[in-house]
Amino acid sequence: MRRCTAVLAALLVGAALLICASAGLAATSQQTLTVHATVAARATLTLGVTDIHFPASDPDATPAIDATENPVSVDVKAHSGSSSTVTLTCQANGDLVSGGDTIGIDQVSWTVTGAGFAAGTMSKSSGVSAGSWTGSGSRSGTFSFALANSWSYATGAYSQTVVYTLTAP
Amino acid sequence: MSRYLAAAFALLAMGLCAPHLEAGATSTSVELTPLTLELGLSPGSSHTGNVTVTNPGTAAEHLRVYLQDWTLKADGVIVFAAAGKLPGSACSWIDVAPTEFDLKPGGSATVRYTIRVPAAAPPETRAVILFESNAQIVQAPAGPSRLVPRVGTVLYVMTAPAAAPRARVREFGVSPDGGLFVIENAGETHLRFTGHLEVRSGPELVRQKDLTPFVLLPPPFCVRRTPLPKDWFADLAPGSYQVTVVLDCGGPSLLGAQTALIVPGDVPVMAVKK
Repeated sequence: MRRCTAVLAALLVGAALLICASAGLAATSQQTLTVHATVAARATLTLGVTDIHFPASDPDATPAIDATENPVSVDVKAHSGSSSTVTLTCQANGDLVSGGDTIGIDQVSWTVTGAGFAAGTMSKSSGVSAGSWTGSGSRSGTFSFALANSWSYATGAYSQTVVYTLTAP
Repeated sequence: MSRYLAAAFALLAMGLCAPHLEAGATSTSVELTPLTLELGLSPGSSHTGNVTVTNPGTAAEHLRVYLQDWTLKADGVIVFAAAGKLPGSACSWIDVAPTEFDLKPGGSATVRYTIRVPAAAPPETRAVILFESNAQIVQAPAGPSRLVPRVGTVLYVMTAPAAAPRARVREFGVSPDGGLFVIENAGETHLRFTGHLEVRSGPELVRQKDLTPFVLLPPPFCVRRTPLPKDWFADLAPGSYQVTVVLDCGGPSLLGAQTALIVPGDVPVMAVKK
């Protein structure tokens, strides 16, 4: 008997809840909100420094000179299509130059950290891939530059400009 | 007195050095939208549009805007060349303005481009509008090596009506050490490919890998070589497989190629009950 009473009470509570819910539904009206969002293709390239220096060193003691600014931070942010590839290339405007003396720019190489970034050796004749990513995202990494040292280099202060280009062909 | 004079000279020297040190230490940043423009234009027509560049950094930037040619090497790396140097250049038809300006931190600017398509334009031509930062720093005869960021809006100017894609797989081979497929675009306009690779043992699909999407330009830059990494095949069990590459460039049908892969080793032999 007690069990029957409990079941009956539960049913009554359930019915009451149902009535309340119905009343609530009757009092509201449903409307559709269409959300529009436009994501335009855009990209940002940020280099942590604009100049790098390779200090003079004894070639026997230091066969590869690390840039004093290492590691250089690189940030690539892109909104692009899911099947669109964003690429970062590196190309030097020429060899390292000091007056009439030169050091081949291919003596400068870099290593990387960060997904999608690519290590390489600098070139003045052709762009070298420094990174590639598919679709949108914010990618952070570092480049660490090194100059192969040699006794054959004439003394001087050498310089060159290296261009990093971000595109989505 | 001489001590004060020395201190004054030291401060002056620091003051002279400071701008150079600051330039080297400051980060540099450029943001651009849009990244790619694929424009279908009639021969003899003209079109004007805008590109927006922003300085999201904390230092002022001086930007230089200019046009260059571009193409893709067979390994997919983009190559830039002086305007008018590459086949299929649209640079001589395009004007951009302004070509040089300053941007404060957080500031943005609109650069207008106008394309005047000649009446005898080829089916597709290309150019890139480049935005180069750091242009205010005059390169010293000797000093540090400078890193210059630039971001580009890639332009495709298409004058031919849309036609069915014409591409073919020229070469396709795989081994447990990796693979290679070579594809060629024989059409007059660029194609955008997505695709995947399937490895089957009989009817059973053993492995499926997505290929990185890529663009294939029309001749003469019409070949793309895609290496397939060793780790896609190295851990397959000994046996024979069918490997299929399936490519989609938005045409009415898919493009595919198939090859056999034999992974050497001891193939398990089924025990036979007597």
